[in-house]
Amino acid sequence: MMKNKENKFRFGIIDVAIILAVCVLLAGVFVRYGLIDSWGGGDELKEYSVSFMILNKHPDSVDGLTQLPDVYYKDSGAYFGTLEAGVSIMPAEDFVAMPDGTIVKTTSSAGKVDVRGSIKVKGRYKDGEGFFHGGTTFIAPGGKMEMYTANADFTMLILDITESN
Amino acid sequence: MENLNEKTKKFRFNAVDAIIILAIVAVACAAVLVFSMLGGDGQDSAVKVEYVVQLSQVRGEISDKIKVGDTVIDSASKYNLGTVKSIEKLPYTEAVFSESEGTEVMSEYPEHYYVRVTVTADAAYNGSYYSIGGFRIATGVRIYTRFPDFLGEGYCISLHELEK
Repeated sequence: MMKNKENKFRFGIIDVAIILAVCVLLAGVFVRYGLIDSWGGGDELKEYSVSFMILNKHPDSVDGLTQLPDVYYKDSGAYFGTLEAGVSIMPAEDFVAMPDGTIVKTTSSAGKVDVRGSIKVKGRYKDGEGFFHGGTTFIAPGGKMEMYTANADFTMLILDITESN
Repeated sequence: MENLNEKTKKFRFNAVDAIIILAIVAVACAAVLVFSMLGGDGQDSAVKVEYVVQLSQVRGEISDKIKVGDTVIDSASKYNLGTVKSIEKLPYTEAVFSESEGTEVMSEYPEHYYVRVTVTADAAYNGSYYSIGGFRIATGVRIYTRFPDFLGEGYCISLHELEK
């Protein structure tokens, strides 16, 4: 009976190897996703305003955009920020080739709209590296992001990121 | 006798242990193989290169976000691809059929630009290609560029080795 108990709790070299392997994997995950940084700097997050543009949307699809202003990442469902007041919806820009070959800027003849606005987010700006949303996710002007609110899916083009006053 | 049995039991080596050890050895061998392939034939020479990445159809309002001295990172692989030396902004053009001339002409696309970014970087040349920290660089290679204040994709349109 005693002998069985001893066998049951035997701790071998394989167990040590497995525990070490798990520790290495966890360390890898922390380094890969920058979680170590966020532990040390979570309290340094500041409020920023992300200016964005949504191009060429059907007017009905952006009607309710401002009613429920919380914005989420489409891929992870994580909270991104909250739309600020002053979202503007205007006729979509369009570029048309003229008979002489020149291209002119006009507005959509199909009734499409462009949306411009800004989203209040929390993040950190690191010198020489850029802006990290939530301290971990890099975003920058020129980036296209798939997002959603409770009543609208959209792809936005980031135009600017400025620190809120 | 019982003691001897216990000892034998303690160091018993079974099939599962063998499989685990084999798996670890296989992973180690694979890692060595991958790293040796990345490193080329072991005769890489360190060089300094200058290349140009062309970003196309960049909107005017975000076309001045890249600065001299910015670090360039490939946003897909996260490789550091060097430092911005200079930036050139040119009107973006597209081929359009001109009815009046009866042929295709290159026309300026209003409010959009080509942004050509010249980058210098420490690279390795292994006799057949250049690589920057493991990222193969050559004209025609698509780069998902990440600068501190700009994200976009472009193509390498020129590459040359700088004299030492």
